[in-house]
Amino acid sequence: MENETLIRSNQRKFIGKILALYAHDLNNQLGTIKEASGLMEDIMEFNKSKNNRLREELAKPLQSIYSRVGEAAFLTNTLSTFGHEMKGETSSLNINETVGVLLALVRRMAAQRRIELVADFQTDIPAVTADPVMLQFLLFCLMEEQIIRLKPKGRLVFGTARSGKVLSVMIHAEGEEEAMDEKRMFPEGMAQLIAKTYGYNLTANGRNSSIIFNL
Amino acid sequence: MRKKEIKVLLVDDEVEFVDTLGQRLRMRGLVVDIVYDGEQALSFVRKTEPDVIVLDLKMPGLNGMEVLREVKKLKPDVQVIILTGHGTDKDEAEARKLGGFDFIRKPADINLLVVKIKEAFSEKFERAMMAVTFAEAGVFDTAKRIIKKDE
Repeated sequence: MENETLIRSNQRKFIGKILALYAHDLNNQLGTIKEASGLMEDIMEFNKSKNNRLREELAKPLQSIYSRVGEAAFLTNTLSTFGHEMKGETSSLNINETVGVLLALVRRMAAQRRIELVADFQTDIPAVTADPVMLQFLLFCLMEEQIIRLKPKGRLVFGTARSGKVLSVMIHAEGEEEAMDEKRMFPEGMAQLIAKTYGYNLTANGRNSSIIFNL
Repeated sequence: MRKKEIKVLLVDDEVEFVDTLGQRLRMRGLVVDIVYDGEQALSFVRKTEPDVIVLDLKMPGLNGMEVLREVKKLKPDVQVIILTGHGTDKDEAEARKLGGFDFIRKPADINLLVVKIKEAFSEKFERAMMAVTFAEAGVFDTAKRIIKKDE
């Protein structure tokens, strides 16, 4: 059992390393694309009088390239952060950032089901000590429970709030529900198992879930 | 008075990226040299003194942090801007601790990069001018006399 734990923890570091390497490599590709398209724009700009019509025609596709490169760079930086999180275990976290990374990485999944993900974070919350990836895994399990129930145009609101010596991370589902026809990714009760095994103070009923941290 | 040209050394193993970036910076009036690894960068710095180095972190052979450390030993006045596709907050903190002027993540906006290069150059120029001013005012000689008297 001890060997298995050791292997699993190192497997996690391996996955994290791969993700960070991939993100780095992809960022370099994006950098080259951005410079090349920027050079096209520079060439036209520096030869304005000759290339006015060309500049007008290329303005829109160039803008599209910049916009997509910007988006992709945001995703790769987020993936890199996630990969680096996997190398360590328990650490001092800014919960808003940790939840924010998760939301950025799963937005495609929500978008495919036409569910809106909303971040409603209280600013200036104190740091808590937790394993960022385990927390994200727990939130993902809770999220999946809701997402497979919600009809399109539903919303999942992720909130953080401090009240006295307590910090809460909450998920609240809004919208109509439908019968679950989609197979779960994780076994039922996975969130509760994680919470019990790793000592998270979890409350989950119906459309609302919350994880409480004592400060 | 002739405006001083800013001499920039680009250091990156991504050849296509750095060649294109170099071309764009030259179009904006900067004097640009390019090398493709850390060893070439140090070799260059030993022979000439660029005003600003734009330096990648992850390169085969000597990585960017090692290059930064060595450059600051060889030519402490040379300003170094890290431009990287990797870059954690920990890397940024370490680079600044080693004397890096700034830390920019790829893909970077060319106009931002040019602003940072000019800021780095201005700081270097001001420091150099202060040193000349102090020397001219005899501040160093006066300081030496005071220290000798105390001793």
